[in-house]
Amino acid sequence: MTDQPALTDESRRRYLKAIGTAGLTAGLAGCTGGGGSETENTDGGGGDDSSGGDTSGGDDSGEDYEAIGNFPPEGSSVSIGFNGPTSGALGPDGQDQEKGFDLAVKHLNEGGGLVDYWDRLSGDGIMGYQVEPTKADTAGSADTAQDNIERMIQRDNIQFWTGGMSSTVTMAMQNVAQREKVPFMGGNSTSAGISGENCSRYYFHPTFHAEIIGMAMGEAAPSVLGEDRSLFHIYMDYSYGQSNRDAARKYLTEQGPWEDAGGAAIAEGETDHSSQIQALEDSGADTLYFSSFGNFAASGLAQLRDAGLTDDIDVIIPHVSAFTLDPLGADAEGVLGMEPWNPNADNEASQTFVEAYQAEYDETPNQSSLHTYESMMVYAAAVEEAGTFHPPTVVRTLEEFEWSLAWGDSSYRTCDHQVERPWYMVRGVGDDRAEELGIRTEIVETTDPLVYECSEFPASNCAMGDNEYGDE
Amino acid sequence: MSTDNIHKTVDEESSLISWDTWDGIKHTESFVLLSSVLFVLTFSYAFGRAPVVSDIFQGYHGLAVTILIWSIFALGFNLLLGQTGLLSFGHAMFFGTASYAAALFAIHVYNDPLAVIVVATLAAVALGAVAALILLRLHTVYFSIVALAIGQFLYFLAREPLVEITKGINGLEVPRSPVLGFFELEHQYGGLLGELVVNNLYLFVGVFFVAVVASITRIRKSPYGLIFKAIRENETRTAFVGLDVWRYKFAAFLLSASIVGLAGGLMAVNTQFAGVERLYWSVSGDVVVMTVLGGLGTLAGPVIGTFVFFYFKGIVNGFPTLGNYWLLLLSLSFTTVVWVYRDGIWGMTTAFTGALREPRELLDSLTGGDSTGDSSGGEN
Repeated sequence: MTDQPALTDESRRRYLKAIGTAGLTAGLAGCTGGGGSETENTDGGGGDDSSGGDTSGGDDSGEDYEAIGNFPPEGSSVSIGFNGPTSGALGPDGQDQEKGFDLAVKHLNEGGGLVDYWDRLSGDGIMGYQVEPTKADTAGSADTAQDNIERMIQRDNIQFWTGGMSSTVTMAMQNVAQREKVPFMGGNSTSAGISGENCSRYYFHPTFHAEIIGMAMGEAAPSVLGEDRSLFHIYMDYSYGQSNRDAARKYLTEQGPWEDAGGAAIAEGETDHSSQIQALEDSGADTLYFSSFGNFAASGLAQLRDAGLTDDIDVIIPHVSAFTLDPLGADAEGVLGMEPWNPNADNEASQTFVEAYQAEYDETPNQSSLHTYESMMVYAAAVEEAGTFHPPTVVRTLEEFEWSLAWGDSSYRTCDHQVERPWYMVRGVGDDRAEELGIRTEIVETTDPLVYECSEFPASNCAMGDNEYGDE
Repeated sequence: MSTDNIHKTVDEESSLISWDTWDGIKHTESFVLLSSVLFVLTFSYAFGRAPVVSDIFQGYHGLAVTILIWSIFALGFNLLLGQTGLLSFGHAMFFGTASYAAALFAIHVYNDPLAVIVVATLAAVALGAVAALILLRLHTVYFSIVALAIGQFLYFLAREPLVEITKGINGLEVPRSPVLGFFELEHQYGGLLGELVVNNLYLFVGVFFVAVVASITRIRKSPYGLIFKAIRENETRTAFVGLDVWRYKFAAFLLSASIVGLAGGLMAVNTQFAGVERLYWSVSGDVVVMTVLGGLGTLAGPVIGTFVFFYFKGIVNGFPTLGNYWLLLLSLSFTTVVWVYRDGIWGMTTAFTGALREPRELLDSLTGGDSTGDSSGGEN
């Protein structure tokens, strides 16, 4: 309860925000530091900032820009949110995301990890503002996520947020980010619509989705498994399974060297896969594209093993992450899949991150932990580069942003805000090797940074121009 | 000893007048209407911005809007469960369907929040009419389970086969437009009004909240509502009196569906989003928890229950460390309240105030007497 004074200050600010956001009352606008036009250099926020006078250089930034969304931050700290599923089916990944977020906050404020590694960051907050974290559990629900984010925006005055697994939630949050003009990065979600028809000016997608997984598979799988393969699909019969199946067909068989051997759908909620397994056996295929995840993938794989098929047939699961791998256990051995990152990734930044993470939590990080961590680093660096938290300016900076940290050589595209970076084809390992690696996967192939063209599906469905910066 | 006695008699005499008057006033419809208006006007302020109080609650305006909408949902649900005694585990079907109807109407036909909400309500009534034909043939646990089944049926229907219409798990985005073409929901007020209600969206939801409270009070006070209660108490006897039980249950079902539909429509307008999760069975479960936690069959109960539920979901959720256990904390407090006070938080409150008024009865109850008569009296 030591933050009691801060809370009182907050309630005053909330009141100001509620009244003043739209700049309705000119008198108050000065107090919120937002009265001036873009070209005019007002000193409105000076009174607030003097309280944080001990902070370093750049904190006179905000006053060059008009107030928009939650901008400018008040006092000497900047609030940043985490809104991810720390409970429920996606809990394992959400909790790892939360750990990555916590570590990022610590490093940004105090130095350490990739903050020390990267010369764009100071280790003294972001532009001298200390990072004030605020967190909430979405439990994988879009409505809960919405309540959470309203709390963070209205009460905690966040300038940026990260976290999220479920595509549904990420898509709902993309719309909120656009409406509220608060940048959001980092739903670790794999629906192509996120950087396709649902794209948003205020959201940046830092990972892959079904289309990119297919594309990366097209590049990596034939060199790992050979060109002479016949591919059978078992897929969950809704958007997740269908889009992964379509992407794999497109890049592996239509445009790739492999033979298509047909497919079998798993109906929603169906757990007995014997008919699909029978169809797989009848097809004579030697490779299976198993578009499933989590517990479903685990039980499906166990059934394949019981049918004695896993010795002759290579199984590919499109996206492997903690909540898929944990229930799989030792069954994961030999299974192929795609990861956006792996702790054994061959770059210096990854090793720096892994060491810092192990020192903090005494366990090996995974893609989810790095997901929020690096998103935070990228946002912080973009703010440092832009010289302001002003959301439209930060978004414009991010749209041209190139960097090279643990994710490898990465960049965001202006056309759909999709990241372009290397992807990792991985193979599941047995218990002993997993103990050694600290994770159930090892890298078999690293792709070049890759993404489809802006004119291709799903980027062609993204009407980024319809999403305004808000200061036009 | 003697001073004690004197004190008590004085207290009782003066109280007889004031409390009787108070009891007379507090059950009038105009009093309920007035208090619901006052509640709406002060709730967001007290919850999110008032000094001291809001620092204790740590609330925020957006959650106040959500709580009002879910209160409408819980009130509508309570009309069926608390008033008529039908426990439905499938009320998410009305909430979700109305939400979809609102979104689809706004996207494809005409986007005016008022029209959208009318359409949402009508969609829920239409669904209610069909569902009632199946459900009202069933009793007790069969009624509950089949309601759940219909809800889940619609959930899977919206999720997969109707994916072209509902966009499946991705959901629909509802663009915001002004009410009747000029009443901007986003419009923020200044001065006192801004302090109290912040924006038009809150007023918009608040008006519906007051309307629902008023109409439910009307129903409860009417002979019609009395028949609902008679059915709850004993269906067979009600039939023997010569009343067509099915017809009244049908009416109660539709009324409940329409109020829940209203909430579903408001939810789509508020979040500018309609998704498949609003049809999911856990939504039906949540509303049962809210209603029972607050106090079944009362007017204030569902609202209090909704508040407590969202306090845990929206505020405790954000606490450092403790936040990760918000669901556990909620279920613990639910179990505790329901264990100790069957009538929920509102029952607890009325029992407590009742006991304060009748110190003798409090004494009796402690020595084994029965003081529950007073608490149930407060709920009528």
